[in-house]
Amino acid sequence: MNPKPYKSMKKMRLSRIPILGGIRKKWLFAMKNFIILFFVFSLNLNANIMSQARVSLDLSDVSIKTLISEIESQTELGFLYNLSEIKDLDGISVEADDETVKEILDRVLEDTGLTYELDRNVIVIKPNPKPLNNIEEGKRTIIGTIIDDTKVTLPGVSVVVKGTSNGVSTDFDGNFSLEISDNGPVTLLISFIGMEPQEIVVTNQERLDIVMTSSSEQLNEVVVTTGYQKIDRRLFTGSAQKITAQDVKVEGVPDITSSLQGKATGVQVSNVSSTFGSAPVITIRGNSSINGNNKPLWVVDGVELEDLVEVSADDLTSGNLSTLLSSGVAGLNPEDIESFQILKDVSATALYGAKAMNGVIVITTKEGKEGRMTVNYSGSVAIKEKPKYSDFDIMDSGSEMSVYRKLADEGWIDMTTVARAENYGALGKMYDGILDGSVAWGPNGGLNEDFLEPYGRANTDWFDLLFKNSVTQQHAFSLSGGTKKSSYFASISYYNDAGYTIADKVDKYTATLRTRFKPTDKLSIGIKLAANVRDQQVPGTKNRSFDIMTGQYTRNFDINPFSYALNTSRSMRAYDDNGDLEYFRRGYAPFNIVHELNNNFVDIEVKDLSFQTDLEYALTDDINVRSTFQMRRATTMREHKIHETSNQAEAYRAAGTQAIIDGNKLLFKDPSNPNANAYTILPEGGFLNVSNDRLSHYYVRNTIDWSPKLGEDHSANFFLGNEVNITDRESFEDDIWGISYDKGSVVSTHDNLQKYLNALGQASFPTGISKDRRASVFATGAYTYQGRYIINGSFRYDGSNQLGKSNSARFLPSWTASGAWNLHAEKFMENVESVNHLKLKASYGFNGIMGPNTSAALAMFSGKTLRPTDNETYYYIAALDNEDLTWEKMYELNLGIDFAVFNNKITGELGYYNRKSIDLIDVISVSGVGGHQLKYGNVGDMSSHGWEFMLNTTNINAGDFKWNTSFNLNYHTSEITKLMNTSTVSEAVSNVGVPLKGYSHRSLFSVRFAGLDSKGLPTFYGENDEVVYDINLQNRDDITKILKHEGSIAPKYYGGLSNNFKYKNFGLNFGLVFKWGNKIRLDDAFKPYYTDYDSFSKEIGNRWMVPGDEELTNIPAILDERSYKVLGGANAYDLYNKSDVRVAKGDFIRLKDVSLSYHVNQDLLKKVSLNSGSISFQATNLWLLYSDDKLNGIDPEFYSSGGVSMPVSRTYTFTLNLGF
Amino acid sequence: MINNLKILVLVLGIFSLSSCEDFFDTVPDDRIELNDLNDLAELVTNAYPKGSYLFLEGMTDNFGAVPSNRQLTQMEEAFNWETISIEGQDTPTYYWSNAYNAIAHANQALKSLEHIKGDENRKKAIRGEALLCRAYAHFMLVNIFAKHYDATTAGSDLGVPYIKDPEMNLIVNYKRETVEVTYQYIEEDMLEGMALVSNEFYKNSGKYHFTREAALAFASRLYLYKADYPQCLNYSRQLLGKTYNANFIKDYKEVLEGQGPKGRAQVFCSPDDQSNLMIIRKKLGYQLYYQFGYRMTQGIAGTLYIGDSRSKNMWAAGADQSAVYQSKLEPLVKRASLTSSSGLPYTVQPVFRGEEVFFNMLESEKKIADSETDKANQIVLDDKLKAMINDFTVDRYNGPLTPPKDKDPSRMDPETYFFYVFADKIYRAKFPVTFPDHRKNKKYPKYISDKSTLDPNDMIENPDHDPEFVIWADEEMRIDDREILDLLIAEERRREFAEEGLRWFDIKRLKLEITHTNLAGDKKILTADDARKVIQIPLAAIANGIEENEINVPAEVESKLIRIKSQL
Repeated sequence: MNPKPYKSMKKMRLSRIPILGGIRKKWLFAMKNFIILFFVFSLNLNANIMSQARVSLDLSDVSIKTLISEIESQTELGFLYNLSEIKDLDGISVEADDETVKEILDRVLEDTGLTYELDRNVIVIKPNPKPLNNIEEGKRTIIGTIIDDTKVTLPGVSVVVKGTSNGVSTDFDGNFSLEISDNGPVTLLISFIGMEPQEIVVTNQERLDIVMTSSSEQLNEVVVTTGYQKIDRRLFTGSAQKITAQDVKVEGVPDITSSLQGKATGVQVSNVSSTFGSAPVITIRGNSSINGNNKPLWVVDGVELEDLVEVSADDLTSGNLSTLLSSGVAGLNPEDIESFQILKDVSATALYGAKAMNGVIVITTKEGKEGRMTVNYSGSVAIKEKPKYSDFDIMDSGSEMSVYRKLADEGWIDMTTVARAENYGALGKMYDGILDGSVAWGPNGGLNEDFLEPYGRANTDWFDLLFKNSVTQQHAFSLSGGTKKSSYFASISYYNDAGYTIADKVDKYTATLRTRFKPTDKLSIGIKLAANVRDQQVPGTKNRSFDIMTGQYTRNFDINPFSYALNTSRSMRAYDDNGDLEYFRRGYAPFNIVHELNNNFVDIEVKDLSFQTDLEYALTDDINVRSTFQMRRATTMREHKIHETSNQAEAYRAAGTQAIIDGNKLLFKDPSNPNANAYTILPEGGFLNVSNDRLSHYYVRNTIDWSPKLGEDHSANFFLGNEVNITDRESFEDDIWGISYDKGSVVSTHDNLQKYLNALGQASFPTGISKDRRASVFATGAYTYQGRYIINGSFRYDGSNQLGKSNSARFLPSWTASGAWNLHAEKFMENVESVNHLKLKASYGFNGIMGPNTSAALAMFSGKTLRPTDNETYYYIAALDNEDLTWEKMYELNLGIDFAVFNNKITGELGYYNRKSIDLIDVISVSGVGGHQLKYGNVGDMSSHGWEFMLNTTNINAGDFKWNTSFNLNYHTSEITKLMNTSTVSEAVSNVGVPLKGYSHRSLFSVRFAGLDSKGLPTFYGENDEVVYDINLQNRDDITKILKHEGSIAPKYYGGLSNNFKYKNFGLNFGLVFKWGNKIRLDDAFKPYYTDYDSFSKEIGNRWMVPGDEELTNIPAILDERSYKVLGGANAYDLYNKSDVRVAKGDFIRLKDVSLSYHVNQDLLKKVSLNSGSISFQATNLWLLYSDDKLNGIDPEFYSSGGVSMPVSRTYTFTLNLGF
Repeated sequence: MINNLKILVLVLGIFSLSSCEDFFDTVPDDRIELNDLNDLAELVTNAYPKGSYLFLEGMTDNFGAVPSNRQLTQMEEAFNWETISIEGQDTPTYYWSNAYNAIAHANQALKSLEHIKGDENRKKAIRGEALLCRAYAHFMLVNIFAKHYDATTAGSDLGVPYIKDPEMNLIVNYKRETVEVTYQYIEEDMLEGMALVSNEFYKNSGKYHFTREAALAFASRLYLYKADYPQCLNYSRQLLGKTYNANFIKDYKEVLEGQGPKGRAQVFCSPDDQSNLMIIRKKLGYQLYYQFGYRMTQGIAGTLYIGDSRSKNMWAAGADQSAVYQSKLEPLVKRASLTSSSGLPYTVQPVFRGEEVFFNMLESEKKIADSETDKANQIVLDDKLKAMINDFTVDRYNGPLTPPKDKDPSRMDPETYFFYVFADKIYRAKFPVTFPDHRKNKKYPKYISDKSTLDPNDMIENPDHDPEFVIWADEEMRIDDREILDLLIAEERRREFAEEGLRWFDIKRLKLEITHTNLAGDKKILTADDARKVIQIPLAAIANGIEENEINVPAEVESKLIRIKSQL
């Protein structure tokens, strides 16, 4: 009798579990008490030792039950058996003296038709699959086990004697047993979807242990997990791509989504900020809506993942605090993720109905597998590299000083301007010193060069001061295992980022427990508990605001370290000669960035809990009923703490001189005493601005899955169900004025605070509620004939409370139809040996999504009147009834070819999609007679199409050395075919582009620069190509005549290339990502004049200085005071920032990651009692191989918006993985 | 098995369908549902147009060119009586959309009132206020965007769409009623509203709402504009009584006690002020823009306010101080954020003042007197008018209560003397040809002084004592005085309401011809019946099917967009 081969670390992939087959059933045993069993399992860590347990026995003529109880009494082993199967086994006699249980059982069970299996400390006695010696003449039995190249056993592999119909499938443990002819050699065909088929000639072997290798990454999938359904790949016609976490994981990066960049076709990822919690901008097949949220739907283990706080796609680049709560995925432990399934076309996303128009990303987390307990530890340490001035084109302090002197000459910096300057640097400090007598004038009443000299050579490296070569660490620990009746996966993880800058840090804790119980062979109960807690600190920030007059975003009291380092004079110093903090002036108050960052910060705390149950019941052999329920609660608290000594608090009481009292707009000018001086409303203390967000989410889904047995040639699947989704969000804000943190947080609020706020119209509305109710029914059917022809259809009916009461608005039906043709399975292809796989597929469907600003019902809100006296509450109509409002909709045609040629050495996919989005919601200008001039309506149409191409090749596969390449290239273009153009010039020139009819989804427009005039002032072309200094930014008409169309802000082409080398246990990977065909607006850099607070790009050195320079340079002059006055209100410099010379190409090629890994040898592992072990080293964002020079070192993906945004840094990570 | 399946389907079905309606009726956010009368009252609180019609001021004869001011497109366009192409604050489009927005609030309240239960008196009061609001906004719209009411053509002149129901669809096609129908609807709403409205339920002063007094002022204005003088008189008298009523006239001394321009504006607009009948918060930048565009100039102000206490509330502005403004509007700003340096300018403006009702009353009485055929009766009526004007002008011009010595005893009457001061010093002195003072003819005093002592027969022989001349002269003087009375009423209105926008309606109503000299020095005339007295319907509304006004404007090639700085 062959002992059961020792099972090595059983790390089965979920995708390999055949759902449709009944294989599992065979091996299900009656179990008296699965809960106790599970408990026993969990207590024991090392099964190895248990199986070596020794016993001494002296038994004669007993039943096997007696033997079992004897062994149980002597060891900690337990037995499992089916009473009916062992009841005949009597008359056993055993004599043993300190023998292993193994030896005894081998002896006892020999020739009984029973065998046993040792599973940790449980011994399962079961019928021996090996037939007894009653085989027909001339036949014999061959047995074996089939595993894959990662040593995971493969169930469901077909083993057929070539040329016959004689065959079997492997069982759940990959074992098979097949009767074959005893005469001469036979050839076995071993085949399994996604694996290289093998032909093995059997001569006289009794046992075959076969290793199958994957035919290619792409065809690796047996089932497609849509989140609703695990559907047989053969029945699937949609466009979907599966990515295993292992393949894309960027170690040390806490948010795994960013690593999808360049890895999947049709998926465009922009890593706009690296601050923890901020979501990358992800679009699948471009944008389907003009103004809507184009974010894909995230689904985790079958349940939609709501973001903590709803942030629109455009706002992801805003740098506002809420962006840090925009990524739902940030709360997941990356080590828990098993795989991503990206569903792209309407056919693939059909079941999601009206929320999946932008595609779906399905995350499947790990589950416990049957088998002994495995313990995994994964730890990584990453180092982020500081930014360097050498990467940017910034002047040193010496050059800066010369510009400041020039500014002083021009009259921008002198005694009088400094006295009323809001901000000043070194020069201002000198004048201020002269003013109060602490600094002397220089010779002849000039500048005091002695005073200025140390600043001139300060060359402060703000990056060095504010950034750290910080270490982040991530530790994840997981346990998993199970039996036939139950399985579990438990993990905890800890992530710590000590901070890229001196002002931020993050701790994240996650815990997950997933268990599955199968009390009967029909019922399966899954329970999942997941929790995560995040503590984060970031620099204090306020939300930015858009100034429609200048077309610029402004953010007050911005202390974003990156923006600060880039924009602040390097002649200022953080520390003086004595090593003490040195202060300059900002907002009329003393300012030192180091001090400020220590005293003005935001604490973020996230607590996120979810409970999920999945019930699955096999009603019959071919009908499965499933029910999923999830409840989630998440609370997010943001506390912006502005300490009393911070500049932001001090600015509220800066009233040193009359000039400052008059200039400081933060002081309180009492309206009841108009001639009196303004005074501070914050005499002491600082601020505490608290905002709380609460999310509660409930989700229920019930489905029936029917796979009727229709014979060999026919295969079908029908699926129907319903779901209910309830999401409630509440937010609450409070601002506390006058809190003194140093005095035990005592609060002293000024009596006139309310008057102050009323006078400025700043009465706030601190609460917000949103309630989302959705319910849907859906059905889908799939049929295939001989696996060659597949048709698929689905229907879904969605209802929502968002759009008011009319039926057209409340409900949306969506549908898809699709088909596929497996060409390689046709007879005429049999002879084409080079083609292993060739599939044509097509789908067409109709889907919709809830648009933005959807209010079909009258929306009324309350407010407080804004009057000097007589204030009262009033209601205002925010949106009129709009019975015509309905969902945004889309028709999509999807065509695709999947192929594999030359022994699966080259596999690939070519896809084409064409989308017509209709009823898109945008602002429409109406007569205004109904009460609103601008209304939201379904007025836009957009068409888009794209190509997706993916190629995976095995370039070399020579024994120990293996080289794989994978490449993908995508093309996407869109055109708005119907829209009312209501944008203003200022919106059109903004850096996020504007939707206009006849152009792409978002196009960037520029003011047309017409050169510098003879005084160095920028000029532009107006409406009729006349040369002007001034353009009305509020204009809405003819903006295409005034402006130049630069192109889309979304790239036309994007993709990635990765190479994977394997030599023995070493692996080397490198991945490139690229994009091209989009335009970027450069940051607003030019002003008519500057202060000694500003830094300068080196470009400023090339500015217009003397007449004639206008022929040589495009950099406008720094104006003298007189010219500035003559310029008057003309917005020439604002326009220059928005002109076509301030646009760069967004093209780039980036070496995104390079990793080197080593898997420890099995032999070595055994010596140290490990199951697996690997170490790897990875470098990410290593090198921007190409980007437009005009970007001056700024990352083309990064939006420099201040606040909490931070560019993606170069990171080096060391990772250790251990399995016990 | 089949049974199991049935049960399952049933369970699923019940789960998904039960309480479906309730489920989808969940309100998606913290929007308000109107449940009680308080809610409705708060909705009507917002049924007052937040836009301002002060752009009209730039089209009147109160404004002139200020070369040192920075020009703004909309102000240039207004001054040149062109269609205003800008759409932001202080433009016709802005007023149009805000007025209709106010109407939408009133209509929503009226609609909801039908099915909300509560105190009947309160309900009536809310309905009254909503109707008045609806009428008022339409009234202002029709007077801005249509021809002035003229009984002979009102049946065919285009008015404005009159909206009585909330808009329920994305795009609704509206059509303009005739001026007559518009006025008719306004009148209906106003009268019903006036009958229902009650001051009882307002919090605070109630001045930000239609009180009964404000409603009377509204009726007074409406009937004046409609030239229904008896009705105008009727409603004006209901408010003021039959004579001059100082309780509804602003005490200018109090205004002048305010601290600086801001302080005086605070007093001027205060709800505590007796003359302010209704105040509306207006989103406008007018009060901040005195350094911009065409404004009241020193010259215009100088001729308007001679020796007037109102001139003391006049402030010079602009780089060369050539623009002036009265601090009638407090410059208030709602900051974009606490720390922002930009924000939304707004102010509060009294839109109905006691003074206006007083002037409406004067004008109506004058018109009624005009139609009086009995001369003696007419003289009695005129004297009463003069007495009322006298009282007002004594107050505004800070005149002495006892008349200065005069040879003519009729001018020594403390009831009317100030009228003659005006008549003589301003009109007769200024326009000696139009208004010759026959009393200065030496025949006249001769006769007057001697007539008591002379034999009547002697008079005939002595040409200096020609009674026919005296009778003729007195009659001429009386007729001139009546014209001066008209002028005085109109000019006092202009003075009192300068920079409050009402002058424009008078220019339309009284068919005045005015002249503007623009920055370039071009002299332009707006004739009595000029088509440009009608403001063009906003472009967006025209684009959406609202019929435009026919305004024949001389085509002027001028970029509305780009202003080239020639001095650069």
